[in-house]
Amino acid sequence: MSDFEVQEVDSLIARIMDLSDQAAQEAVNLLDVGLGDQSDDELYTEVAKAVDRTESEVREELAMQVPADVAALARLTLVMSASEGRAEAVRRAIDATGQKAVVLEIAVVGLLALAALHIVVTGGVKEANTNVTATVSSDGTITTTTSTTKKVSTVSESLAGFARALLFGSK
Amino acid sequence: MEPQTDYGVELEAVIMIATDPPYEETAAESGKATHIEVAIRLSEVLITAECDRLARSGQNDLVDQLVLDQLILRSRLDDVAGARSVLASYLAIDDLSGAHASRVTTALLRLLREAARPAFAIDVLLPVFDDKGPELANWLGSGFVDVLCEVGNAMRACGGYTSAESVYRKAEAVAHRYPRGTTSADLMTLRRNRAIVLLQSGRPAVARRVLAAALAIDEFDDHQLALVRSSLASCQMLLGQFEVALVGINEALACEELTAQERDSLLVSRAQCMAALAHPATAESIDAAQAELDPDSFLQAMLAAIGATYASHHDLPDAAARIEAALTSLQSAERRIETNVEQAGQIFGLRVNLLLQSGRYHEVVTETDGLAPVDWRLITIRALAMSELGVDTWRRDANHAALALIKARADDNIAVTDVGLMRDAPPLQNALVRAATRDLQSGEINLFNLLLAGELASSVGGSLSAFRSIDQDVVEVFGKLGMLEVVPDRTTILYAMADDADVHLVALRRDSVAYRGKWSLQEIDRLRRRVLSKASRLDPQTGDLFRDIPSWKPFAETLGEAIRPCLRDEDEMCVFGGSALANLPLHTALIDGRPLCFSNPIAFIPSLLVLYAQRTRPPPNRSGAAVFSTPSALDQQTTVERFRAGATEVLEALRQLYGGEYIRHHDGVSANRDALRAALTSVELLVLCCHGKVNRREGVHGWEIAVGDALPRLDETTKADTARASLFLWDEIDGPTPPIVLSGACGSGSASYAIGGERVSLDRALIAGGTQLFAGPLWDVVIDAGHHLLAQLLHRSQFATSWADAWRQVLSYDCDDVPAATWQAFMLNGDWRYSYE
Repeated sequence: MSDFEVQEVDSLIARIMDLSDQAAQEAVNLLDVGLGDQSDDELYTEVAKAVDRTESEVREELAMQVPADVAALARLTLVMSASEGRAEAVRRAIDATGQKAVVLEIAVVGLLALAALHIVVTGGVKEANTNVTATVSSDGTITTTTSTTKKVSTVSESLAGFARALLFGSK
Repeated sequence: MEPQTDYGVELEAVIMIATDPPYEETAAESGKATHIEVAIRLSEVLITAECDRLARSGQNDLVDQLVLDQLILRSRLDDVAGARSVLASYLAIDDLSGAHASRVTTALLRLLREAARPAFAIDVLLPVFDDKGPELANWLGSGFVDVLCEVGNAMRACGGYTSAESVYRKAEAVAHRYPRGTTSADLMTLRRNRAIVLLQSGRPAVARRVLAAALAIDEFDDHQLALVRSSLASCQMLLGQFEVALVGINEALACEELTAQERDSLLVSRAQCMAALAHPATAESIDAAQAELDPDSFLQAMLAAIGATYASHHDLPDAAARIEAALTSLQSAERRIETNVEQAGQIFGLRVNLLLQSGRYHEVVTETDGLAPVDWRLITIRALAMSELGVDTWRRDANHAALALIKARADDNIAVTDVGLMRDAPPLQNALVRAATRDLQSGEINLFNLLLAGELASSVGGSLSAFRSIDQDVVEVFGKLGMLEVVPDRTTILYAMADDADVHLVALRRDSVAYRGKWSLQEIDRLRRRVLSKASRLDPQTGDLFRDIPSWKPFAETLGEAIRPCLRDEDEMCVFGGSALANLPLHTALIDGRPLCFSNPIAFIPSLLVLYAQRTRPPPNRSGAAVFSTPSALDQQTTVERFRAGATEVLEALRQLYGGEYIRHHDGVSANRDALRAALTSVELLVLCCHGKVNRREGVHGWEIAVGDALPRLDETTKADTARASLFLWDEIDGPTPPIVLSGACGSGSASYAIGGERVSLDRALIAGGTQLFAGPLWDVVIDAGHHLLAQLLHRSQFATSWADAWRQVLSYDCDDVPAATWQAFMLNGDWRYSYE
């Protein structure tokens, strides 16, 4: 990845971190990273398997999340997608926000963020931007670092557990 | 010194005459009611004089008794106005303070407890409260609310659910108006009791709203919170929302202050939820709960039945043993509680159902021999057992059961906004479809059975509500008219219905009926989930159903093939009916690679009965239009501009139709609940340009509206969401409603299905309230593009032969710049032939 491309990704990540909660949620809803036409139910099954929990547990946890936490998770997914060779898809998703007359369901947004994160970290990465790192600590603190910025946000402990399992394995 | 005049003896005699029980009982028959009236008139004179004397001599406790007697007499005459006037005079005779206060309190409470009709007493008292509220509230405190609650409980115990609900509601109003002395525990108890009575009268959706509001507003201690969560979970289970119910139950079970009975009941509910969700830990959880419950209790028998049914459905190795144990437990419980008719009936139903599931058909037939024809659930079980045994008469039993169900629902006073009416109907629907399709295979079509099954699955509740308004008996329509007469000329109705394995499609014309094939129910379910999930994730500008949802195109082609032979002329009307293929964009069925909606006018109807009711109810006497346009407070500026542009285009189209003075535009903060309610009850045409909120798992369908002087701000999704002020939900629509409603809100044209298959949606509530046609998108659409389509529909509706024809023209000529996923989402629901007054 050229320096110019790295800078482009860094600037996209800065844009992601500046998104409002609602825009971040909508962007992850529109993010096309290869989920195909799977239904939400099928995604629940897939995510549950990936985080080594039952489907009911994932549903229950996501149903109880608050919007700010899900927005933080959405930003993490967008950042990881951008840094793992899917910057164009992220840019398109962000540009497409604000056009629909919908109030998103938080649990579904959380599900899509986790499912997209799973795809991004497990499959088809073309070229990673090694200048970006993201960590999720067990108390829910997310730290995103690029060559120019460092951002810290938090999610609930249960979401942090899911995200850590997807990023670093469930064990 | 005042003269001593003693009216006591005469007064006592008058009251005795009026209150003498034998006298009262026979009064109506013998015409002696007039004696009571005379007694009351006499007592009024005597009481006034006596009260005056006693008050002057300081004997106020005697005054209380006399006034009370008179109020009770008046309650027998249903004389609310007279009773109010007596009470007002009484409250005026002394300074309302000090020692007199406690006597007033005692008198009022006695009135509530002793009056033959507590609701009457409340009607008398509440207006007095309005005059004397602040003073009375100081004395009465929470005691008054407590008594109202007791009165409600007494009514509930006697089966007077409607009266009890009314008493609880009034008590809540009192508690709100005079909060001093009313504790949060009082409010919680009231709301919970009201919710329980709503549940008992088959209105879980309203009960859920009451409890969700309580959770959002009230402050509880741990125990109260657990009880509210427990009741809310019961509502959610009846509505098929097992996941959220399970969360609530687990939270409630964590409370350490639960009584043993409360905990046992929660354990049973948890088992029911887990079994319904096929939770992997169901069997273990039931075993653990069984170890905790009293082995002889009613709940223990229920738990055993739940465990056995679950084991049988999932072929667990111990299924046979569990069934045997459960049958023994149920039989023994049935013997113990035979005096409790309700519980005994429940246990008997569980036992017979378990016998059916375990294949003991002969026992089912023996046990259910001689059932009353109204007991449709048990007749269904009997019919299914007889079908398995090859007894031909099972079809007759299934028909009887269906008619009994329909009649029972028609007789109940159930509002259209109540769901859960159908929760026991799936086996019946399944039996009827199977009966009809077996006939089909042998070349003989049992149209009656097939359509009856379809109608059962297609919002019978909604249909009946529509029917009540035209005073028409549903059974009569089925029996005498025959369903084909409902089909208009030059129209094909493609009616879909499901049994437990397949979805069947039948084409109905006025002169013929044809079976058009079937699809696997499981495949259709998977397709529906995929389409609805993915369509909402499509890129707003470039997303396309056919390209981005690979499984849709093959189905659209197969459907087109099934439909093609039915359409005699290219522009003939094509109507999709029934619930089995609902929520799918059937209008995009492909014929020769071209979506059907470009060549033929298309509409969707929930059921034939609804269409029939729409065509036969009196035309509305309405005029004018209203537009509601409001973005969210959280929207980006570009989003706000899209709303503005869309609303402007819609308004322009309406001006051409109506002229400016007949259009009300509620923009931004003025697009609030009160304005929407007023528009629903007054205008001919309503257009909604706002955000939509849909959660099909929880049956949430609504529009986002302004609150007070602020734009809507729905930035949280919690379990109490349904109580949020910025949502106008489907179950708030309680008729009458405008003939035409057009909605650009995302997902507002979609429906969800409560347990039992009952349809829940905005269009259902609107159509039952009087709406002839509702247009809205199945999924998320681009704001201004969606409103552009609605504006064009308004333009073309002036010149087209019907709304469906206008919509076909819009799709053919006005769609070039509209993103595919937006036009593909819109559907017309209801009668497509409405014309402006």
